[in-house]
Amino acid sequence: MSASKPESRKETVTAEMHRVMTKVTVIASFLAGVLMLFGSVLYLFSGMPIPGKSSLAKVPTPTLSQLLTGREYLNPSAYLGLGLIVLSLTPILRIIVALTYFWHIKSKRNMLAAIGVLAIIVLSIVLAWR
Amino acid sequence: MLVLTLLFLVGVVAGLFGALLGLGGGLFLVPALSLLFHIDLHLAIGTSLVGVIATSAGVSCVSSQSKMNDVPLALNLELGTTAGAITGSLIAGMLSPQFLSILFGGFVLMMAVYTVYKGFAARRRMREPQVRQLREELFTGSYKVKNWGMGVAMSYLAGNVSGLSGVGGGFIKVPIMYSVMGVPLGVATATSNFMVGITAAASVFVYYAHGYIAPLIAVPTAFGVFGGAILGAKLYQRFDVRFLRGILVAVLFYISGQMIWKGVMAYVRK
Repeated sequence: MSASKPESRKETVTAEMHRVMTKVTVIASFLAGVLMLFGSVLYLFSGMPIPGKSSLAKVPTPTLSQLLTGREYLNPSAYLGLGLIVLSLTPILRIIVALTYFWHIKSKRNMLAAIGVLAIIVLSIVLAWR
Repeated sequence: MLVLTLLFLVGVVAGLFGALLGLGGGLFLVPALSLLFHIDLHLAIGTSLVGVIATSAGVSCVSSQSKMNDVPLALNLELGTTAGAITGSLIAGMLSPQFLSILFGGFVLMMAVYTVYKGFAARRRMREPQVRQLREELFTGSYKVKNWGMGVAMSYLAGNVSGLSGVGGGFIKVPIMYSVMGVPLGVATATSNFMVGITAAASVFVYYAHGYIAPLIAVPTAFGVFGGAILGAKLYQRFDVRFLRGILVAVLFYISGQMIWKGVMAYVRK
């Protein structure tokens, strides 16, 4: 009986982790959707021509610094870009939830793995925008 | 407006198939964007990575699908996969679109062969007695993960493929976990769905910074993929997987032939 108690506690915490992961993903995806939708509406009302097949790629991707400094305020592509970045961050948020869970159950090996993966992704962001 | 609607619809199909078959969706997006819309291959790969993340997020939003994934296993393997994804995405920037086209065609061909093999394996299993017990073992049986070193090394390769070609790499991860590491198939598929999003996230920022993610292509596609993935995750248990697999194999062989042909012809014309 006593042997099964820690096991069932672990299962409860695991179920809770999956529940939180789902919730975080839903919220972040919703936020990304709102940003992209807002950008799309701005685009439609900005008077810019609706692009055809050949001009799809011609709307430039805003840079990170443009997004962060707000220089692209009310620029439709900035909101579209920001929405895409928020969507791209959802897997990272899931890792952070997992890290919190591993810290809670004091699983050092898995905590290190989660930190390692986060570090590699941060490195990719640094490499990308250096 | 028609082009944007078509991009959305392509996204829905990619997300639906990606979630139903556990492939991420990139296998459909890259050729569809490149062959149907004549979008530059680097842009198609960047958009596909966003699509893979959207598929993973869509499946995660349907909680019953994500409960089976083994998070510790996923994160330990991701150490190799994410490192591979960054390497792949950095190398991709140096390769010509023609070479990328042939490379992608090769990956899709491998995927088609793997899917045919998977179909035969499933049919063989169905003939065996005590199928129900076997099925339960495939999805919920207790297991002990083995061959960690081999698993992480092969995951690095899967990450490389993902960074280079914009696919999630699930078609490499699932067999590694199932055949090499002794993980039940159901758990391997769910864990792979969780992993592909992380792998794509490791390389998507490199593509973004290089300007290979065009908002007007990526946004309608991402909306479509996300909706398709949620639909796919909800319909998962109602579909006849054999029928889907048949369509998938036909499409994959066609795509691989087209991509390899396109790349080779571009070299010949040079």
